[in-house]
Amino acid sequence: MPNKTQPSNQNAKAEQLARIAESLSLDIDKEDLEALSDQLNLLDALEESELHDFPPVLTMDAAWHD
Amino acid sequence: MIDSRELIHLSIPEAASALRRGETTSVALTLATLDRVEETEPTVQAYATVTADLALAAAERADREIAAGRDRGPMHGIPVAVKDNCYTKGILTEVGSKVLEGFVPDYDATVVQKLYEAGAVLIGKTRCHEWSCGGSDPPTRSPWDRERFPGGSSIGSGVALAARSIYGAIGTDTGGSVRIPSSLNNLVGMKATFGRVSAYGVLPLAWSLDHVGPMTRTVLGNAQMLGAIAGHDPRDANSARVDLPDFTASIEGGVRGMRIGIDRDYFLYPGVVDSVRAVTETVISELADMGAEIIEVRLPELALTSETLKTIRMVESASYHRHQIREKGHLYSPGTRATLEIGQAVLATDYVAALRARERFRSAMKVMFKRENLAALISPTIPVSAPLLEDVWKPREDMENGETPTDGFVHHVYPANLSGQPAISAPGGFTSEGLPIGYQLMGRPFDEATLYRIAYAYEQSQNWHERQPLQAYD
Repeated sequence: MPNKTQPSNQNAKAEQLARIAESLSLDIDKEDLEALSDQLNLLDALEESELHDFPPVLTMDAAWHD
Repeated sequence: MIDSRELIHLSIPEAASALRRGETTSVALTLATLDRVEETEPTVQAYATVTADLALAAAERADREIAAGRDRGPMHGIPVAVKDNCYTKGILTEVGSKVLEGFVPDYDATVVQKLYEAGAVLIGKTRCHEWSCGGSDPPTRSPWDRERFPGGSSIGSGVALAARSIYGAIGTDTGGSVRIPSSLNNLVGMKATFGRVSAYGVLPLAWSLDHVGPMTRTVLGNAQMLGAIAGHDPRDANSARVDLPDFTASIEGGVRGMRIGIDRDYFLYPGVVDSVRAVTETVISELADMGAEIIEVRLPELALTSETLKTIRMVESASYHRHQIREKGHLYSPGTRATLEIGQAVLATDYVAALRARERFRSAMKVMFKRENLAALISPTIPVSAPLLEDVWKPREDMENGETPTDGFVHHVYPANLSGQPAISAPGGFTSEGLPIGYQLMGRPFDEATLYRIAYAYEQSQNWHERQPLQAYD
């Protein structure tokens, strides 16, 4: 289970979010963008290491427990 | 005939039985409810809109039908309320937002339509947080303690039930908004399987996470109410084509032989306060005494459910609101606007990563339920009892990691929104200060009946659900 990413990646994501927020004129607090950056970095690390066999599936399987 | 002061304390099945025995009428139930609304609303402000005239007309109709032998089932003639994010034809629907101030839909949400078809009597619309997520709080106050947080976003539904100003209410649950107010108000709240209850006509927060569910004071009443509102709806693309069982059929079957899992690492993490921990252990112990087998499990995939859900919620909320914010952004409170806008900054690839993480989590949950042959997974509903209103967003003094009560609220409830599996919150006990504590059961998809069966067994073993607030209404 990934629980941290490289500092350089963290900074890159935070800067990317700040640029997008600015270009869209979003009025978002710096702390909220930093929290979002941490959140996305964790998912990014998870995707890199553990999501190879998991495409997005949007239906619920009624026979889940059979 | 039952005295009108006693009527408000009946559960749904008790009121339904009294109706059929001729000990009361739907009109009497409705008048008693409206009197209670008048008595309690100045203090608790649970309702956004009260529809007294429509309710009395519906109650008269229900009495005529019952007298004529046309019985629509257990909700027939029962007063109910609906969260103000559900469309109601001809009735204000504002979802706590200035954007929809004065908005009157020209059709009913499917859940409302189904309640009408079941003969329920709509008393009114209950308050909710702005757009069901909001940064601006409604004026609603907890009848348990006016200074404490009564839950959200189905805040009015929870408070009205606790204040005895309704028999059953509809809430919606994208990240715990049925179960959190149920836990904080000593109620039963069911977030059924994704697709079990139609979300057509319900203002969305995040389409792939939104659930509509019943909130009541007893387990049996909840099962009856779910039976009235569940079922396939071709107007909802996410509605499931599955059989609709009688959720009450096996409710008295007991728990003997059932395997109930507990992941102590995740669900009894250090953020769970002692009173909640003790209540949860008592519920587990009682269920074991009744014959359930308690299975220690470990599901590491629970760890990133919060990040995964928040990413999906942010993006889907931003998608729904972005055009409206462009035109009417000034009508959103700043906190709500930021919450609903931030998802625009998330890349599509990040959103898909979250969808893939959800699938990984759902798969792991499925494997665990199969491997351990579990009937349910048990946990506290939330790790704390009702915090003071002023402390809801502050870091907890007893936690070194900066966790706020709000952070804790979602820790245990997010997983079931993410997996789509059913989850129920039911009364588990009280703190020494008299504040309610709920416990949660998560189940197999489309197996709400088993959750009701377990919760009913525990409910019969004690009387927590009968406790009501001592708060005076003035």
